[in-house]
Amino acid sequence: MRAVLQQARVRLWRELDRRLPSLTRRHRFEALPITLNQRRIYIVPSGFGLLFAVMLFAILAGALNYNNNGALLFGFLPVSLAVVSMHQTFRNLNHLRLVHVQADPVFCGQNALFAFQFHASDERPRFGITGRYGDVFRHIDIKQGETRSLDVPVPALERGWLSPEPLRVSTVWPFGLFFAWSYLHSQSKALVYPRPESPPHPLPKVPDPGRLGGSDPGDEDLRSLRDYTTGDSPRMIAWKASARIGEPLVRQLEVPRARETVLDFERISGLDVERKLSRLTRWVLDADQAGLRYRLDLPGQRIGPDQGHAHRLRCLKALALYARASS
Amino acid sequence: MRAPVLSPRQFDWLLIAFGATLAPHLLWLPPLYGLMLGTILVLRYVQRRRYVRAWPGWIKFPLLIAVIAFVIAEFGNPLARQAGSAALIGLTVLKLIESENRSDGLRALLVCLFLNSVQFLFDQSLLVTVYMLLPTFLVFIAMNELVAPPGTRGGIAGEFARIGRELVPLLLITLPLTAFLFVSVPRLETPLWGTRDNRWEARTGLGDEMRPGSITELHADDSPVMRVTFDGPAPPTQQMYWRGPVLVNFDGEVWRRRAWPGATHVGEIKGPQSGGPNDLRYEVMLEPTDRNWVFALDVATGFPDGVKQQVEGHLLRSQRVTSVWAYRAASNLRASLPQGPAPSVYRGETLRLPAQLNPQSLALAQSWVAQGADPTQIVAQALQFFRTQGFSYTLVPTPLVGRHRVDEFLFETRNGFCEHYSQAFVVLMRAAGIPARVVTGYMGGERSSNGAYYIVRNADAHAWAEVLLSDDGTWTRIDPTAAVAPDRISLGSGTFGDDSYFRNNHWWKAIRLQTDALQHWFNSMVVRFDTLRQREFFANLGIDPSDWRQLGAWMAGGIAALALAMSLWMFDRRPTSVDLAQRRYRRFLKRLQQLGVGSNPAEGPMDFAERASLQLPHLRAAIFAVSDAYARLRYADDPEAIVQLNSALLDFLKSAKP
Repeated sequence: MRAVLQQARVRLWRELDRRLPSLTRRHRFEALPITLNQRRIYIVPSGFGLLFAVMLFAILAGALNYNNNGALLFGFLPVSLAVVSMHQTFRNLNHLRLVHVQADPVFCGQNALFAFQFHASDERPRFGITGRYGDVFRHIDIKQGETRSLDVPVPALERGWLSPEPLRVSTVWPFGLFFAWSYLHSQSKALVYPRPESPPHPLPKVPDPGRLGGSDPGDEDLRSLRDYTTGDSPRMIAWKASARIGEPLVRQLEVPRARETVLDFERISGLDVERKLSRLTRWVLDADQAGLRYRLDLPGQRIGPDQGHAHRLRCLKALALYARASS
Repeated sequence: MRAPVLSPRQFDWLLIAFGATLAPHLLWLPPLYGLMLGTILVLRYVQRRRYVRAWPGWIKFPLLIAVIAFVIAEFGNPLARQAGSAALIGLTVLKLIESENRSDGLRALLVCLFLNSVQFLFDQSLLVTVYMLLPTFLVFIAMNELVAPPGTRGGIAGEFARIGRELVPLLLITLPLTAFLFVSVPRLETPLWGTRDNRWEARTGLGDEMRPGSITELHADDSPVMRVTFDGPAPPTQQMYWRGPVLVNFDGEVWRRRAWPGATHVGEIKGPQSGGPNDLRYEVMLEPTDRNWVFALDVATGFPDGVKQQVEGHLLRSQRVTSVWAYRAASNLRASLPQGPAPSVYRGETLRLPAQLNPQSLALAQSWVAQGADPTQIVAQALQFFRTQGFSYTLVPTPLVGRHRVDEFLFETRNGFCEHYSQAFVVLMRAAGIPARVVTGYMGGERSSNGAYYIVRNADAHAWAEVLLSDDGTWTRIDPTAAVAPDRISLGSGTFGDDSYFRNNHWWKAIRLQTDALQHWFNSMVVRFDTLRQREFFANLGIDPSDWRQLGAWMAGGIAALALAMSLWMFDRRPTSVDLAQRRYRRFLKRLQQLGVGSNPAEGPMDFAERASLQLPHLRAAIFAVSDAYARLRYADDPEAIVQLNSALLDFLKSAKP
């Protein structure tokens, strides 16, 4: 029974999508660029516009009744202005083009900043364009030929791809008498990484150096020495080098290039999948911070070993999309 | 969601719009009231600049009481038009001292629009009407400013650039639509509520009574009372006596009208519209006077419906004239008025003098009678007395303060203007046993710059005398002022006055006449555009306005056509850069065409330039400069080239002058 209903709903929406695209536009993604036109711009008098109409009605009724042509003239002038401003309000949105949506990846629990890039395809300037997303309002003016970004924070509540809800762009320019709006449901998405575990769990131990053919601890690479600071273990002091320089030097924690840390999903036990991913995310960040060379092992994929920014992003993306349908 | 607080700039715009709205109202508001409101606004501005906060209740409420008290004290009836308007203005000012957020500001702007219309209850002159565009547009600019989302506005220079580029064209393209609605929306023949005959208050004009001095103020007032268009040739201005109320009762100080209950029609002269074939016919456009008086040249023989001619020859309308009113009238300048229906009673009235006043004057008149002079000779002697005894005409006479004012004038001060002379003359006549009365009205008129009509101004107010020379005769007009100052009669009031330099200065007079011609045109085209004129307008277009289908078709068609024109203007503009380049290049081609070099659509700009320079070798450099810039704009997509194209085109046009 439920399946039948579901099927009917899907069919209904498909039919509506085909027949009444402007009605269903809110419900489906659209490919960029999206250009606003008369088929998708809605316009109604604003509350202030209705008040304005009442006032003008009173002025005109009085002027007609008392046959006061001056008052009548200056009643019709605002009426004409209102009519023209209706066109202007519409025109302020018409041919506005959403050319690009830019969103940097974020961690779960942060806000993804979606930058909706607007350009006026007819090269006219636009004034007072308001974007509403949820309770958030953002306003921009667009100068002639300029592309301006309307930045909307979207809370990232779970890892994976985050697609924003439809963005409502609206305007009351020039006089606030009319309110024109349109919904943009662009096919844009931001990558949301798992929330890094907090408090952090220490990184897994570097595997046995012998197995990896590590270096002799007495072997002091001058490049991996740093100045002694309070709290450093006396065991870490490189005495020979210190003697040569005259200052205490400490062997850096970071391990020679040959060593690598393995961040293995399977080796974490006692946690559910999301918390495991959370921990792995923290480890990736910590390992990257520490400049380690690390490898991420997830069921079905192995990334690295490697290090650096690109590697980190690759790992984080894999974590974000683990067991999620891609896109 | 609470409406956002107005930014300082938004508040400034709000105040500017309101100030512009308030300004024309100051012309009629009591000065003290205007001063009070202005002070409140200035204080509010200064305060709002320093910190954003509404005024507290302990300031607001006393001010509210002050406004209400002032309105009641000044105007009495709070329902009268002036009182209501003054109260609304005061309350709006009080609203502004507590307006802090946007919705308050927007509501205040709507009230401004209302006040702009209310203004026309007090003044419908061309100047004020044109001025009203300013507050109206400022209200809309302020609206634009107030509804702008926060953070989208740049510096003040960009602000004005934006207003100039975006809003001003927007405001201007509404004017045709406004004009269309104005002529097309059907006027109501009868009011839906109330009456159109509301009182006009604080009007200057001819008074109800005469006491020497009261007309002095009128002389300084150049505003027109009426504009008269004659059907045929106009009579000489020294024969234009526009008859107003007749004053008979004199108590030694004040001349008053006398009511004649029951006797409303003058004897043989009949109305309405009964003018003889030789009468002067003319149309009068009378400014609002808030009086029932209807002015016509002496003696009126034809006048519109709803107007009655009184026993004493002047015309009265049943309703006061509260807005510009046009009527047709006819007059016979050679006719004179009969004595009226009750000669015996009236004769007594026109001989009566206040007891025991002005003994010297009485003695003078009686000395003439004692010499055995007949009435005609007595009139001549009185005029001779004015001419020879050192009397002078002035608008700033020595004040008459004693009990025997006529004696004072005739034997001591000997200066004055029409009131003094007509008063003294009538007193002398009555003392000599000749029935006499004072007639007030206007004298003369100024020919308009195009000669189409005559302007009669408040400054032309005049008083003259009428005497009954024989018992069975008719009233004869005597203008004693003419005996003293013939120029006043032949040249008009404009000759006199302290600012005679300006009055007689040629260009000043020309400007005054030109502006009056505009005002006259405006009155007939706009202010007086009523059901009748609208019908004429539609008839000229071949539309029957009583047929709602035709009217509807006209309205719908007109609005659709204007909307189409507007949308063509607004919607089909090509992107500016491309459009500009093409336009500039077309201008270039057109000039070359005029020089005999036609373009060929198959030719590229550079080939064409080559061919054109062969024919016009002296322009070679200029032609190539234009073509180069154009080609770069077109094919190299170099947006900077538009600047070069502009200057190259200007150079080319300059060097290619025919």
